[in-house]
Amino acid sequence: MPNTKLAAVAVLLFLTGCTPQKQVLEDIQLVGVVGYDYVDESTIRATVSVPTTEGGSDQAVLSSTTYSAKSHTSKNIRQVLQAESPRPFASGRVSVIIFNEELARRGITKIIDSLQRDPSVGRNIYLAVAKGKTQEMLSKEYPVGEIVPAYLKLMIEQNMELTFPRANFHHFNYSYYGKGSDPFMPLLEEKHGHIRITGVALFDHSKYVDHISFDNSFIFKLMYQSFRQGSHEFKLGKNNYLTLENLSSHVNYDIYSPNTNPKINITVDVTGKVNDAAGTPLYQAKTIEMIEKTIKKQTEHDAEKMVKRFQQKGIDPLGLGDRARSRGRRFNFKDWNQKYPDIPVQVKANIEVTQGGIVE
Amino acid sequence: MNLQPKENRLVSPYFAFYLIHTMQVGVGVLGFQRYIAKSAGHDAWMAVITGGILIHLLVWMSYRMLKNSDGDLVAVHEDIAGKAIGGLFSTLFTIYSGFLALTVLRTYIEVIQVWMFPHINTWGISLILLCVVYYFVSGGFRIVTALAFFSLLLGTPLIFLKYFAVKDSHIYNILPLFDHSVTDFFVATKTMTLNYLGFEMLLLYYPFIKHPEKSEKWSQWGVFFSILLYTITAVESFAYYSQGQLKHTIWATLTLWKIVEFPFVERFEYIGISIWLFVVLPNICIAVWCVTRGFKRIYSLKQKHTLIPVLILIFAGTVLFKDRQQIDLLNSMVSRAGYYFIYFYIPLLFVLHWMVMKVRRRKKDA
Amino acid sequence: MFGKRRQKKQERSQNQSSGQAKTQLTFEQLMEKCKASKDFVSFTKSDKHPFTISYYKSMVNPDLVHKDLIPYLTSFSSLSLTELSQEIPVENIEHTSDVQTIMDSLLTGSVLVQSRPEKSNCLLIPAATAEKRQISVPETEFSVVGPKEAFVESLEVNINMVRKRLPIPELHVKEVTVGKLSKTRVVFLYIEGIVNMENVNTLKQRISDIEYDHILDSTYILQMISDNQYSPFPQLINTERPDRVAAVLSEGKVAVLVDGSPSALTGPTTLIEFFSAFEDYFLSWHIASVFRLIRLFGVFFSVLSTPLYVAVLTFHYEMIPTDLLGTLIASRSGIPFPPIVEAVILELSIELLREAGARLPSKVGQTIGIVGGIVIGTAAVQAGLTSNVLLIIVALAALASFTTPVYQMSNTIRLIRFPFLVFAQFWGLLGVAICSSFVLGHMLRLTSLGRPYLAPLFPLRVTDLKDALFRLPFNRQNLRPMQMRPADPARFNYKRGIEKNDIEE
Repeated sequence: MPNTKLAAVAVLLFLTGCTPQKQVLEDIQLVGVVGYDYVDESTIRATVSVPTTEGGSDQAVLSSTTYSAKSHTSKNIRQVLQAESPRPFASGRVSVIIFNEELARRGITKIIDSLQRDPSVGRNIYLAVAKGKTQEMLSKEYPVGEIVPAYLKLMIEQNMELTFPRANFHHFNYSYYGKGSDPFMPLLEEKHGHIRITGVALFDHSKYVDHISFDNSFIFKLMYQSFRQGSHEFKLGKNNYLTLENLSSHVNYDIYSPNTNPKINITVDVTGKVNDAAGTPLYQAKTIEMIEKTIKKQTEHDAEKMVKRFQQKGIDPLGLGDRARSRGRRFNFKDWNQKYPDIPVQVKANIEVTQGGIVE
Repeated sequence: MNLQPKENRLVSPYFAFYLIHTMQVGVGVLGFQRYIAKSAGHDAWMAVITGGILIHLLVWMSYRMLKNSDGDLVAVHEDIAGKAIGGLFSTLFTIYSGFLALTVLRTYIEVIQVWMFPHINTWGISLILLCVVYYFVSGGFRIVTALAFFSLLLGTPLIFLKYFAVKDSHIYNILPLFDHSVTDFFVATKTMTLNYLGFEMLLLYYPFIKHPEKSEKWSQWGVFFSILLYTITAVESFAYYSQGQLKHTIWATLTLWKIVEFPFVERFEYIGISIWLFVVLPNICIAVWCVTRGFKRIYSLKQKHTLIPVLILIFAGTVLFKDRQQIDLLNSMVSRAGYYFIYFYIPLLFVLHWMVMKVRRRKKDA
Repeated sequence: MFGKRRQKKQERSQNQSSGQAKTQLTFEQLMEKCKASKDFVSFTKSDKHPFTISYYKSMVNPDLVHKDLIPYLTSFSSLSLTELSQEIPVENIEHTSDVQTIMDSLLTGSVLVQSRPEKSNCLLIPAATAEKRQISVPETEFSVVGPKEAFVESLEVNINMVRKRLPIPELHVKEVTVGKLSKTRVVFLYIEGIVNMENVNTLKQRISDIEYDHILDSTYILQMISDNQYSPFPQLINTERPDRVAAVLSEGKVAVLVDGSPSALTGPTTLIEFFSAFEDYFLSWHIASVFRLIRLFGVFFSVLSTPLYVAVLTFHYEMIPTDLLGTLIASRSGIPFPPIVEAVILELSIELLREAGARLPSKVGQTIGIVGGIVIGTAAVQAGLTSNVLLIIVALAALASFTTPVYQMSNTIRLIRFPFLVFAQFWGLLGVAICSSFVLGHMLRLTSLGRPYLAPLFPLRVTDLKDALFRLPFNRQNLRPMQMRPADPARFNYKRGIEKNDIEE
């Protein structure tokens, strides 16, 4: 009995010699944001933003710093970056990845592929396209009380709760690898000392081709998913605007004869409240009806225009093809893609305004 | 030689549920979606159910056979082919069990190497896991059964993690139903049954169940629970991933865990893989136990004497299979063997044994 | 495995007892031996009174000797020993000439009365002093409500406290003497008709198999009769509450009391029972159930929190939630040690504090706690030696380990987190899982008096779960735990217990 115990202890001691490589939290550089910039045909530049601390553990202050390097492959950039860093980089805490507009237009397949393979990269990280150079965007300081990686992450996250459609790395992969839909991501811009989302960057498979403005992202989201927040401004008359705050919206797709002669009806049901309608009396049933009608008209108009635009560009961020596939057996994507630009799409919006705030 | 194990070594009939179920759920659940979707696409989840129904049938056959022979597979073999040839077939079965243990262990180590510790040595982690296996198997069948019980207790809650994927799922992904040809469907069913392998260990531990004939209902429930688990996993994965994406995802279940987020922990896959140890352990332990038990029954070797050599052989096996291709090869080899075993050998044995028994009964009557 | 060992033990004990028989003393030799001690007195009052009186001054009650013995001896000086024994107002007087009995009785406080000093024929009058502590409030198993009696060092008083609670003739008390030097009286109690005699026999067998020179406390017995003596887990419950003993006896368990020990052992037991405080039965069942769950959570927290901290910080930085990441990086920055060293240092210092507090008189002990907790902790963080996050975790883990009601178990819990720490350092989360599987395997193999230790979880006994992780109301506790395989499993008539009247009746 004691002999076997001894042997067991010996084996354990022996085994401790072959333990995995350690990645102690304070001995690595946790990359928070990566920005990719276009340099030339074969070269890209990567900029990483890393949180750093100063002072002892009792009164440590968090700040962030950036490292930047260029190379031909995205993995090699890490080696080059390493040359100027005190500690090794670790990619497990990346929360946002930004592509420069020019790079995105030329396609991001390579970068996506290597990200997809890395087991330490999460699936709920955000991808974004930036106007201008990401290196400049990341190396600036923003007076928002957060370090750059946290700022970007929180900013994108809370917007996706509101008017921006949900789009993280998983959604990107879903459309990127799947047939019948195309990915999209937020379009960022640095303006007046802050970073802001200026629109929805639309992709054709791996290439950035078009964008819609941030104002219209609400209309896009209405069609893309059912949700419970966000608000949008509608024009009521000349110089008269009102804001509809969404309480709950539901979208439904009706696709007729997907294989032969497709026709799509999109129905959007919105229940909302109007808080801000300067000068319009909100207690009269008639006014409410009028408001509902106006909103309905505008929504349908804007939405149909938007879909038309997608069809002209040959992109499908709403995943119409994917939805059509689920409605018909033996679905053929080639046929669909040919027909896609000319498919009649009709949007029907049912608006219901329930409240006008706490005063009449 | 003692055929019948001692009374205090037996386990209650309802433990058949755990034994059957845990043996069927192993490393396969982490990434079977891709393989079945290869042929039947978004319809493959139905193959999970049809495959499961076939398993129900095979379990029924095994029980008929075992009830008639009053023993285990070795006894069945002896009934049919006599001691020498029957022994040969029984040996083949024990070797197959050994390979089953090896496959599960090696695949789990691969998951660890790919997902958690890319730099870890295969032999190191294999050695320590085999120490754990030794500790359990040397405790006897009751301890192994207990492990199966706790494995279910710890492993099943992981199914609730699928909740996190629900809000990003499109249930229309699995529509339209029956969009694939019957052959596609058949191929997917065949692929799926490989995940259900492991229930055939019943043929060896059957005498260790108290009132074994009462355990059939529990075994069938065990199979049913496995089907349920696999179906939920498959449907949820098909709704969560697009078919194109699934093609690129080797471990769909593990990748799904990546989005699980709690206020106190993110990236749940690391915890998931660690907890999965408890799901994998009973697989290895039951298989290894069956190997030692098989040798005891055929060659009257003491289990405590065969255990260490068997573990050493498995250890050597894990070190031998080095990369993804070789591990895939090992997996497909063992699954093919299992496929032939359950689909051809068990029915054949069932028919033969039924005939032999009939002839004997007639002799007795005459 | 154990069978073999026990067999060997038996053989050995047989050899020894035959060896003892050879050294039988004669009466003269015994007297000579006794007289070598200063506290042995032997005298004859005067020539008129022929009786010789001998006793150990330190062992007898002088009042009894002076008031109830010597007056009778002097007044009945003409009587024979047998007649004398009828006159003296003391019960259990023995009339013997067996040297062994004489020796044993003398040493336990009897007075030896002879008619002539050289004759071995004599009377043995029990006159032992009963020097004992007052019955006091339980200290390790204190409860806010409920009885406040604890066992004391006197066996008679202890049995009295149990019998007072179970005044039935079926409560059997059986005595065994163990210990070559200490001659300790060990009794075991059980209720006939409820208990499964198999448990009693196992216990009896094991206690009489004990080979040791001195047994000074029930904890000696606890360790010696454990099914697996190499296990860090206690396999019998050690309690100082007579009410708890009475309760478990009525469940069909067996209790062991040891003379000179203020605590009883009860068994067979299960792991879950170590986390049920007796106070659970004094509180309403909802509250008791929640407390039990909290205690169980406390165990897991205490064992796993520091190892998980080490594993996550050393290997799995990806898992740290974003909102916590900044705090953790900040608290770890500038600390010269890796997480494992930091954790071991803090764990050790907590253990040092606990040990120092336990060894010192209670007033100084309190100071130690405050000094250690506040001064050293704050200083260590300010000096940049440890991170304040870990300090919180370690302190909470220590706190959680003290919620375990049985002292032995809470020590075990604090001990087993060190192997977890080692595994976490080497294999991260996977290491924690591996170590847990070892612990699980160990507990599955453990038995308590031959009954599975992890019951009612494994083997699953649904009826026993009513009083395991939860405590259901008393009217649901109609069955005694199956774990003990009681001879009479029904506590009361369930049907009558749950019978309900109609609304208006």
